[in-house]
Amino acid sequence: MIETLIGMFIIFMIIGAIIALETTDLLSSVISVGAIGVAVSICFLLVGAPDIASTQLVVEVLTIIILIKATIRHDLVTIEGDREFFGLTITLVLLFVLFVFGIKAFSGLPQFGSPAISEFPRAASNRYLLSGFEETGSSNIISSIIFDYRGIDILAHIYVLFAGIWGALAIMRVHSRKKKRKDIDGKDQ
Amino acid sequence: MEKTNSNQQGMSLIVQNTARSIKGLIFLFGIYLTVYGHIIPASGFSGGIVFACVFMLLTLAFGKDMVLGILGKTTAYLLNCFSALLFLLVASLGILFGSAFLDNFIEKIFPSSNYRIFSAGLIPIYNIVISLFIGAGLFMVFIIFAVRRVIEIDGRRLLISTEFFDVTQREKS
Repeated sequence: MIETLIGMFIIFMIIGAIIALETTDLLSSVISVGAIGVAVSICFLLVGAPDIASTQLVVEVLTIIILIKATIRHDLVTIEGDREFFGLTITLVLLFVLFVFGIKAFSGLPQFGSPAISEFPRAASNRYLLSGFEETGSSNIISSIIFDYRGIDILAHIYVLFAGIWGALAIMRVHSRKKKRKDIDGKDQ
Repeated sequence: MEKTNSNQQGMSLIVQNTARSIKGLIFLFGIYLTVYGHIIPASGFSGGIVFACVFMLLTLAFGKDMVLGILGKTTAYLLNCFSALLFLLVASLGILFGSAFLDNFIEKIFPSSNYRIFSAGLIPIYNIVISLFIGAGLFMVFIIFAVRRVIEIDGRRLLISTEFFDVTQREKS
């Protein structure tokens, strides 16, 4: 059941990606990217990872807002009349679909007080807890996980931070600093 | 610190004296969080954020000129870049001496006694490198926002950096 649903969503995502690449309208492209993100979020819900699903949804909403602000200039026309009702209906139906999938995902989670380790003793987290102290010598298990077992994860985190900081600085920079400085100094004299 | 004329820049005397007496303690706390990151519930991330917070406190209390005198913007840039490279270098040492990338080879060659500072192999080194990276990066973002001003010149609003020329002197003259 879940496999067929995930397969359907994957086909949906592939179609959306092709539309996003091939269409000539920027707005349709952005909305296709948003549809792909929502499908990824529902897939995360189906395989039992609600935290990653909510993160994906939040990131997707932020990306859509930023991309729409970047692609649409000031010629945004507000829609009046019957089409407002149509949009409201579509929104409510989509929210209901997401709600149904969320109910299904939460019913599949293990009960409170019975962790997944007890069901799957060969899970990776069980090894971290049982032998992390002996293998890495670090009494802080979180440290031993993020710097030893999942080191590439923290490496990627470091470089995401690096790219974010330097991207923000590149946006904030003063354009052609030397020229402007000479310009203002000249006006001073 | 005494060179700054406290009449013009920064906050009042009470805030300045409090910040001056408390900054060493906060810095020490950051060092503690970083160096003991593999023993207590902390890591290089929290230590780096505390390091950056010391400099933010100094900027708020004494003004930006004093902080730029201690830790310049270029120094912060270099610290950020070199600590990011250093992380990659330390991780690559695992290929040479150990079995794979990001391998904790020191712990495998010399098994350490637990609950000591010098234990757990490469994990304290990663903590120190990450604390430098986070501290320098956060300080960079803060000092960029502190240094930039929007001024009006001939009706145009320009974003300039007050590091290179003093806006207050222009307005006075």
